Formats: sequence, C-alpha cells, structure tokens
Amino acid sequence: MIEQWSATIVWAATIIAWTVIALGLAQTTVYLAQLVLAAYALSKRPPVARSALLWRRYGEVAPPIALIVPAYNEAMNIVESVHSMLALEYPNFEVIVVNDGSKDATLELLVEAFGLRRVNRPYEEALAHQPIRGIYSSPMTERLFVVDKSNGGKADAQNAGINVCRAPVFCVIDGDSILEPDALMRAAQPFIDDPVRVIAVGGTIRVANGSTIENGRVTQIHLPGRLLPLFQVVEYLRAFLMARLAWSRINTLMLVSGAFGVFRRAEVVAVGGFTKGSMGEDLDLVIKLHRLMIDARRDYRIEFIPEPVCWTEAPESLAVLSRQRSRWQRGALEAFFRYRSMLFRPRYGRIGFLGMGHILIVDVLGPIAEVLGYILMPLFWLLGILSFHYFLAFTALVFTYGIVISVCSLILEEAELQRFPRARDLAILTAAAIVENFGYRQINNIWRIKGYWQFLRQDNNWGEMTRTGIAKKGP
Amino acid sequence: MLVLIWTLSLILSAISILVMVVLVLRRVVAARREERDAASRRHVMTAMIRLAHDKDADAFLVAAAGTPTSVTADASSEFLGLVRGEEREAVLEALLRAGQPDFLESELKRGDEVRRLHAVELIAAYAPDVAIGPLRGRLAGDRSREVRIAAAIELAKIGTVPPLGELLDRIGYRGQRSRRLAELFRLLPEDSVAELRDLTRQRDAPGFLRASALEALWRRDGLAEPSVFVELAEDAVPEVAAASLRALGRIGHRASLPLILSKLRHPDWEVRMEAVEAVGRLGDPDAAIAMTDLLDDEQWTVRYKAAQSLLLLGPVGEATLRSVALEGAARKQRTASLVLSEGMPA
Repeated sequence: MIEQWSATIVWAATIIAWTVIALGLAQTTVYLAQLVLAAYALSKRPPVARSALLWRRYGEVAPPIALIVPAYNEAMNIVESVHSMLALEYPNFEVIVVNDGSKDATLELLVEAFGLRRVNRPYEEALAHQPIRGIYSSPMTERLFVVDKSNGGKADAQNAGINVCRAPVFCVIDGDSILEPDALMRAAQPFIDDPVRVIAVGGTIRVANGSTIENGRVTQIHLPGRLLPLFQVVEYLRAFLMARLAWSRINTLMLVSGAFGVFRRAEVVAVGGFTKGSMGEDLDLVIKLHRLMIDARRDYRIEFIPEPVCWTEAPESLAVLSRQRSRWQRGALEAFFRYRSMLFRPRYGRIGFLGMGHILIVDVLGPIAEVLGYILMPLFWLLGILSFHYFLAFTALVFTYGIVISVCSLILEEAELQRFPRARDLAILTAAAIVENFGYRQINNIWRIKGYWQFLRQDNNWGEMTRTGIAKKGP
Repeated sequence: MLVLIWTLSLILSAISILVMVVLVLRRVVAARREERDAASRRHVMTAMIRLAHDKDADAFLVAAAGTPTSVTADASSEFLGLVRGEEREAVLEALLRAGQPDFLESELKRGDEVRRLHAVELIAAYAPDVAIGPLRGRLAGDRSREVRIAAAIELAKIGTVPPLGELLDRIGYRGQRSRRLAELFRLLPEDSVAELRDLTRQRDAPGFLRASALEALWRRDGLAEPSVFVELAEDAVPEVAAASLRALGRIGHRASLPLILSKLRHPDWEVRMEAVEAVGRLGDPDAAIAMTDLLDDEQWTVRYKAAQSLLLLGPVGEATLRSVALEGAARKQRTASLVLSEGMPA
C-alpha cells in the first residue's frame, strides 16, 4: 500500500516537475528566438543618421505630430517637461498637456509658467471621456495647449488629448518623461518612408536615474547609483532591444509603450481609443489595432525602432516598484483575457499564434510555473522524491539561461547601438545582468503573483507612483 | 534531456560572458580612438573656419593632411551647412584639393548604407563635373533604395536626372511609398512635366505615386494642366481623385465647379474633404447649400473643413453658418458655432 502511494507521489511529482520545466523551456526558447530575431533586425535596420541630417532629409515631408501628455499630480516635473517638449527638434508639432483633474498645482503651475489663457478650440468628439473643463493656450507659443478635465484615469486623459489634437499622427508620452531632442524626428521616419502602412511606432524607453539632467535635457548619461534602478536598466534593455525589436521584425509587436508611442490618429479613433480603466492601456490599444487591421484585411505595420529615446524615472523603492509590476501584470492578464478569442485563431495568424501565444506563456503561465518551481523543485529533491537532475534543470532555466538572455541583450546593445558612454558602465551592467537573476528576478515574480491575485479579485487600484523629480536630478 | 538543459545553459552563459568581456575591451580601445578623432576634428574645424575667413587654402591643406580623411569629411559635412557664397566655394575648392571627393567615392563603393547615404549628400555639394558621375553610379547600381532615391534627389537639384520612366525603373517603385519620392517629383526639371503627366494617367501605377505626381504638377505650374486634374478627379483610386480635386481648388479652376460639387457625396471621406475645401477656395456662394450637408458628415475632418470652407465663401457662407449654429441639428450646430468662434482658416 505504502509502495503504491509512494509510486503515485513520484508519478505526480514527475508530472509537475516536467510541466514546470516545459514551461521554463518554452519561455527560454521564446527569449532565445527573440534574441536571434533582434540581432537580425539590428543588422538590417534602416540607416541611422545624425539628427541634423535627418532634419535636412525629412524636414520638408515630416507629418504634423501632436504630443499628448496626460498629467495627474505632476506638479513636480510638469513645467520643466513641457519646456523640454517645446524645444524638440521637429518641424510641425503641438504639445497637448491633459490635466486629468490633478489634486496638486499641476494646472496652476502651467498657467503661471506659460501665461495660459482659456480659449475656444474646436475639437472632434470622436472618443468618450470625462468632461473637459477648459482648454488653454499660451501667448508665448502657438505650439502649447493645455486641456483641463475631470479625473478619469490615464486612458481617459489620452482619449481627450486625441480628440483635441488635429494632427494625423500623435505621440503619447508620460508627463515625467524626457524625449531626446531628435526623438520625434526619428520616430516619424517610418511614417515618412511608408505612410500608408505604418499605423504605430514605438521607441526606446531608458532609465534616467543617475544621469545629469539640465533644462529638461539629459546632458550626461550615467548609470543609476542604486541597485534597484540598475537592475531595471538591464530589464529595459531586454524588453526594448530584444523583445520589441524581435516582434517588430515579424510585424507581431504587441506593445507600444504608453510612455512613448506614436500612433496614426484615424486608426486609434476607429478602435475607440485607449480602453478606459485598463491597467495596461497601451497593450490593450495595440491588440485592438491588430484586430482592426486584420479584420479589415488591410496591409499594415506596427514598428519598433530603437533610435528614438525617451528617458523616464525608474522606481527606486521596493514598495513603488512592487506596485508598478503588479499593475503591469494585471494589465497583461486583462488584455489577454479580454482578447482571448484571438488566441490560436487562424484568422489572426501570427498575432493569434505568436503574439497572444507569447502573452500566454510569458505573462499568464510563466510566473505561476516559476514560483511553483521555486517551492516544489527543491522540496522534491530534498524529500528524495525526484533526482537532483530535475532540480539542476530548473535551476539552469531560471538562473543560467536568465544570465544568457540578459548578457546577450547587453551584447546586442554594445555591438549595434553603443549608447552607454563608458567601458566601465558596460562592466557594471554585465555584473548587474548576472546578479539580477539571483533575488531580483524572484522578487519580481512574487510581485507578478500579487498582480495575479489583484486581477482575480478585480482590484482596479492603480496605486500611487511616487516621483522624486526626474527633471532636477543629477548623478 | 535534463542534463542537456543544464550543460547547454552553462556553455551558453560562459560564451555570452566571454563575448561581453571582449566587447568591454573593444570599447576601451574605441574610446581612445574617439578621443583622438575628437581632437583631430577640432583641429580641422578650426582650420576650416580660418579658411572661410582668410581663404588660406594651404594652411587648411596642412591641417587636413594630419587628420584622418573620414574625420575631415565628417567635419566638412557640418561646416558646409553653415557657410554660403564665396566662403562655401573656398572651402569646397580646398576640400577638392585635399582629395575629399576621392574619399567620398570610395565611401560610396565600400561604405555601409548609412555611410553611402551620407556620402551621396556630401558629394552633391561639389561642382557638377565632380558630383554627377558618382551620383549616377549610385542611382544606377546601389543596392539600397534609400541611397538610390537620395542620389536621384541630388541629381534633380543639379538638374540632370534621367527621364522619369528610367528614373523610376532604377529606383524601383513597386511597393514604394516613401514621401521622399514626392519631394523628388517636385524637384524634377521643367522638361519632365510631360512624363509626370503620363505617370498620373498610368492606371497600373500605385495610387501614392500618381497622387505625388499630381501634387508636383500643380505646385509647378498647375494652371497649365487643368485638363489632367479634371480627368483624374473622376479616377477610381480615391487617393488620385482627392489629389486632383486638391489641385483644382489650389489653381482656382472655376470651370470645374460642377465636377467638384458632384464629389461632395463621394463615398471616400478624403475625396469629400478635398472637394469641399476646393469649393471653399473657388468661392462660389451658390455652393453654400450643398456644403451645408457636409456639416453633418460622419468624419470630423470633413465637417470641420466644410465649415471652414463656408466661412471662406464670404458673407453668404458666414450667414449660412450662423443660421446652422442657431437652428441646425446638434452636430452641425456644434461644428458651425466652433468654426465661427475660431474665425477664418489660416
């Protein structure tokens, strides 16, 4: 009887172990495939010219762009951010700051800094959003408009900005982020080269912590001095340089970051804009765009290009980072289950199989399998239920392959882009790419499980994002 | 299998770390070279500024001789954008003597796409006898379409491009949608007008290409081509029809007003928008009633353009807008009152 029970336990443990290992293998295979694709995409990417040359080459034909900046309690950064946006190098753009019912002095500071006056600006009510209380413009510059509206969340504010903007192309950017002066010019290039097919373009988000920022510009690039943002530098490299570049190469990009994404207005309006109340409104929008274009059988492109850079402040405390990561996880789960009918459906081709399949493996099943593995694999081995090889294989998938993926992302960055100015930075980042797999990755998975739990409980609280004021920081 | 997973992971991680170490070392070497190049660049830039001021080519040639040719080329690209007239001529003459065109030609042959593109734009600054040969070579045989378009644009600026058909064959226009092609069409010399006209009528050519050719035609001398625009306003491709209507409005071709008015109900919104804008530009007060319907169009841009065009009609249009603003249906009313409050379009 005991032998029979023992055999059953071993059998069950073997199945669990193989399931965990198979999911880990699937994730690792996806990452390795992304690395290969990203390396290929980087080697084939279109010419990268200096910004002065870009202006000379494309200045005449660049489409008008509206920069939409949702701002909620951004008093700390907003004036300096808007100054830096107004100083962007682009021939034809307008900045639309949407004050989403801030409780702090965001609007008052803008009114004071730019001498704003209330104006009557006609706009299309194509998307639903909370009422607009007023639209302001500045006598100092014709490029700036501020929309003051009742609070409705980020997606709601972005939708109001889309309604008010008049350009055929708009760029969404967070109020605390800093665009490099030529970022718009670079991001517009796909809209110039292929204006009919390109409907969205994403650029790179980089961590500004530690860098010197003067007058709303990153003047000297430095690595963050603290460990948590340093690990996020490696994470952002993996996310942007590896994952997005790879998916973009095969036109399966599922995420154009809401912190810096450029979209064609007509298509975004056609899908109803950003989904209100969504935790991952950027992911949600891109999936809707894919669905619209595939349903309409239109040839289209959603691209990621690594050259345009937007700097952002990464959370420096565990509490804030935990909230951000849980929210991202909820966003991924929401989008996956909202559009689950697209999964493995032949009609949606590469989006149904690769795009949605990727979210299933990496965001839906991945965190659960990994956390289960951390608990069960050592337990099975210590209790003598399974051999040491199972434990080793799981360890390899979590730690050693993790190192491979992170270091290879860094290799891609250095081989093709070389945006970190000093050799010392590279050495530090290499160390961070190794160390982050021991502890940081595990904590991240726990936050993701927390996000899972909040998703199941339908907890829609965004959580406070504490800012330390990127615009005033130095190394 | 389990052992393989573990072993492979160790091998891959060891290789990746090793590669990264090599890249870090490479960076150390590159950083030293960059420092050297930056110093050379400052040196040659100073010499170029002196050259522009004193016209002392010999001093510049001495400085250029001690500077890597690629650094001089890079500095000259920036400097040439800042000087004009005699100063520019003096700098170009000295660069010619320093052998820069030979370097640029070798870049055109051996450089990667970015460097070739840059070299195309740089070599075009020199006298036609220096620039035309290499530019034609790139147009004829470069493997990158971007470089071929850039070469064609520079040749068009010099005024020596091959016939349009040959030009498009060389660039390769299948699947081509670059806005730079529209720029090229605008730069084509006077004798290309007939070819542009033919291109607009080529039903098998992409709509984007035909619309770009139409735009180039009306910008050049639209008054000479009204029959083309009238004919193509009926085209089945909305992009072409819209471009023709825009042209008719911009050249003020009043005889085509009935045709334009008939397009106010076109199923494609871009055609409707261009038609209503053209009517506004032609300024026929009798069209006000027909345009009023578009104040309730499904597309906001059409509604907005219709209201602006009504305002352009003068007192009749403004009176129409006022009456709609006071009595019309909600959407019409909103559009009319907003445009009235905003005033005349720029």
